[in-house]
Amino acid sequence: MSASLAEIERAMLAEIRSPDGSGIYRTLVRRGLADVLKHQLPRTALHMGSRWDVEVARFLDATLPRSRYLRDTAFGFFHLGRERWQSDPDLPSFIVDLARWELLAFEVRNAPDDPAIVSPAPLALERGVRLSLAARVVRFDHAVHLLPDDEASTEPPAREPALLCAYRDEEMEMCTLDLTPSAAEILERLARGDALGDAVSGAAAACGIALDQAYLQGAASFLEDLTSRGVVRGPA
Amino acid sequence: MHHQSLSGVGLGLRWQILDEVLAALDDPGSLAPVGFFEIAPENYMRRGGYFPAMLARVADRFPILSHGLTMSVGSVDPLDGAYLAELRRFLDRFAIPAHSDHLCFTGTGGFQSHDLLPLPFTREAARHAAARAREVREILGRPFAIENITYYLVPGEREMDEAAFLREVLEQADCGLLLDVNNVLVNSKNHGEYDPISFLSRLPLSRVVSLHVAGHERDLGRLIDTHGAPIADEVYPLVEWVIARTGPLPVVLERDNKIPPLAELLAEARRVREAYDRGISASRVAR
Repeated sequence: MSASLAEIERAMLAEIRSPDGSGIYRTLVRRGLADVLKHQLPRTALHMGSRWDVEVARFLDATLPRSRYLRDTAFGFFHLGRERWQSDPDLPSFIVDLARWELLAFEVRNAPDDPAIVSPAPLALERGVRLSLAARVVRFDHAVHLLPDDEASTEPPAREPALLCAYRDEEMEMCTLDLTPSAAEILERLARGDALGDAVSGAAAACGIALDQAYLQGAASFLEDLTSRGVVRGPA
Repeated sequence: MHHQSLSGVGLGLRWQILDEVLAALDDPGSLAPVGFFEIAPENYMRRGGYFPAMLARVADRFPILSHGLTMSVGSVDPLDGAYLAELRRFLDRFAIPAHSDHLCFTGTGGFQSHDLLPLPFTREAARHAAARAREVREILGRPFAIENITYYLVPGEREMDEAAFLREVLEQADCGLLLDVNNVLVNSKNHGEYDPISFLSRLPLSRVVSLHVAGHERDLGRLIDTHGAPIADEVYPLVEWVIARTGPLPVVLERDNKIPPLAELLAEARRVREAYDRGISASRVAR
């Protein structure tokens, strides 16, 4: 009895996913996905050196993408490898930060567009704040954001903590803004839906800062700056 | 702009040439003979930022054809309703009146290979793909065409050859054919050196809605449809032969790898246009 369509398709996928197959489609599929990973994570690939191919093969042995959007593949690769890479003494200590940085740039550049601001309204303490859909608060142990633009540069990032707001500017490129711990707290609280007043006072408490005039003025300036950058889009 | 009314030569729009295309938008004549662009909607869907914004600029000046990569028409997985709904919104947004994808499956069991995997040439596969093509057309609310792929093996036991399989799917689905003549050539060389014109003669040419041309390379012991090289000389007569029998249609030059500067692609597009014009002349003579 001949195989059903479902059996044939399952068999082809199994062959492609097999760690030790040699079929033409296994070769083509893996080659195509490996190219995409290198395209999305060029610096990570460079700093991993000979380990890159090993890690890509390990990823493809473990799974195939679930997303129909090819650009999601590198996120799956990172998700599967990050914990292991973090504790692997044979890999640079910054490799996870570097991969996260490359993916962050991709995520921010391609995040959904913000709805246009039809009638600008002032922020209110008792209301939440609408943030740009492309804005992210991120923490790194290495100054990956200060690396040269040249993707072929082998310069390693300095071991220096970074607390950043990443956002998309008018040119649709990713920009970053250094944050103080209290500024990051405010943004993270706003991102999870806190009212502005609660976010500002909660951040002060979390950072052990007095809720005085200087702090409040600083918070107001910070939010004004974020508004001018398009990160703050108005009251929620 | 109606898909059916488009004819002449167009270009697959890729990131690598996007800036050059944008720079030429104020002088569209400088992009001659390109009269339209084809895009893969998956590259623009579910994302914001630069690329969709730039596509909108191109679409203001040029008609856009939509050619998908992941419909997986032949897959036994259920059709992805969320994807289809989003695709329809995308096509509506850019006023694209038709859509096409490949006669293949791209994954199963929820996995995506991101490659075009061949279907068995069986009646079951033809019936299944045709039913899904009809369903896709209903959901998208516009014509849906399928493209013949290159295949490097035929899975399962074959009950017919490729031409018969294509014909059966097209007739059962009552849909259009996006005819990739490079794929015809590659398959003819990889599978027994048969005559590509004989193959084309067996297709229902009245169903052809557009043509694809691209380059291939020798690798892994056979010709691979890489879209990474200039169009082979043998492809141009196939364009001419088909156009002579179908009359005016949109012909799309695809290049996805080792993409040269736009000027080089335009020179190649001019060569396609010459073959196209010879085909048009022959079709007039025949009338």
